Amino acid sequence: MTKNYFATGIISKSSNFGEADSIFHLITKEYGLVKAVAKSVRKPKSKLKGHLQTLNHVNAYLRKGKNLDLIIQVESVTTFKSIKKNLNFIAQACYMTELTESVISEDQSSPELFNLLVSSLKFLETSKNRILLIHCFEFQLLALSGFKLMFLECVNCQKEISKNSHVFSPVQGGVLCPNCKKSENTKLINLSFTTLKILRNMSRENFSLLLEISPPKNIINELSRIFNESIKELLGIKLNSQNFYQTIMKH
Amino acid sequence: MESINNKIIPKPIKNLILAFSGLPGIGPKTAQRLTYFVTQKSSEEIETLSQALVSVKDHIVLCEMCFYIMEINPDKDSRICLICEGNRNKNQICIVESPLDVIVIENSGIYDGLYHILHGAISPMNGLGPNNLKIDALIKRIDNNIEEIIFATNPTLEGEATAMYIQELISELNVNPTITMLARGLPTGADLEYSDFSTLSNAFENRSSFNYSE
Repeated sequence: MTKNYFATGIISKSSNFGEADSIFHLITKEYGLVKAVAKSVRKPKSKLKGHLQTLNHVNAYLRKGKNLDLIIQVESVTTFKSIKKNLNFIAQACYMTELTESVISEDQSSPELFNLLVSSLKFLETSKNRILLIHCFEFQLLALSGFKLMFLECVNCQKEISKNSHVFSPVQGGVLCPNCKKSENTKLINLSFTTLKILRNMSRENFSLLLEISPPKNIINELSRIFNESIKELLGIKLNSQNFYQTIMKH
Repeated sequence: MESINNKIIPKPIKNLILAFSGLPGIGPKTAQRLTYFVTQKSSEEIETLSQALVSVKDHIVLCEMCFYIMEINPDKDSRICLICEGNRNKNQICIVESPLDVIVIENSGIYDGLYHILHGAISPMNGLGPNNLKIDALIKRIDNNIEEIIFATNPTLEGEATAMYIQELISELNVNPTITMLARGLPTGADLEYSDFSTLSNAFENRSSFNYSE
């Protein structure tokens, strides 16, 4: 018996399959990660092709299959056209999408992760200041995956952090006090006071405030190191799009 | 894969199934079907097939200039393809993703310039970055003699990102070629009713003047 269903999702990846078919990865609100095939989608007259572009937000009608589901109908909700016209935005959007795909489960509803991705892509498309967007996204994604980074008190003993001692432990996932720092054997990252202030605002979820500021390059580098190391240690993943994102940022 | 580990399947069959599975677009079931087909064929037919496979690897190389596939000529030291050597417009370079794109454009007979084959497109989520493509060689080819560079990458996010990246690199060079891109819009014979927003907006943005005269 066939089972048809509707899903709303972001197309994160596609690969060619067979003569003219393609396999698409959809980060959906209702069913987590869905892998589905679209028949004859590489032919010029395909009615699905225009909608099934990477990063498109789509409403899809699918049929459950043994291994892969089948895309029967699809309609784009948003195509994020402004993102697709700028290489820098493409690199950021690909990074956020791949990061979401790496933590989302198949056949498991993940509305929070889906909404985080959609709202971040919308912000990337419309806002003027996007410098801290990636790090706010990373912070929230880690929190939704069960790894909320601790910046208000010591991650080990829960004591308040003094102003003089700022070290971050990617393995522990938070800031350490001077006492706990002594007994920590894993890699530690020194934090400047400005970086800590930004991170504390993240913990208090003052994202609207953070998305308006433009910190200097050394602070951006510190934040990048903290989140790169945390994602590596806590999620245990290395993203394909990270190299491209870094290449574009340097360029 | 479970069936491939099955003890009742002979080892040569398992090896051939695994080899076919590595081909693009071939899943385990198709690999098994192809393997069964091979077992039904005569030794001569299989010999012809295997020789054709080996010959492709032994006699086919990439052109040093445009990276199109070409047959090795033992009489020549340089590896330059017929298109690059031919009497064509050498002031135009058409950038495509794969050698198959060259074949399609050549069959249409509408272009007589040179090509540059990137052998892929930037696809960050599939781990394909600029370093995996023939972009450096393209940048080295561009000098003051080049009048036009045509982007014929696929109208996908990956194709567009590749074109944007190359355009940024070209803008850093001390040259000033015209940079164009194949028109995006409605395909011939398509139904307007089923057009998506991107295709339709591209068609409107790239609309051209229409003059009918008998």
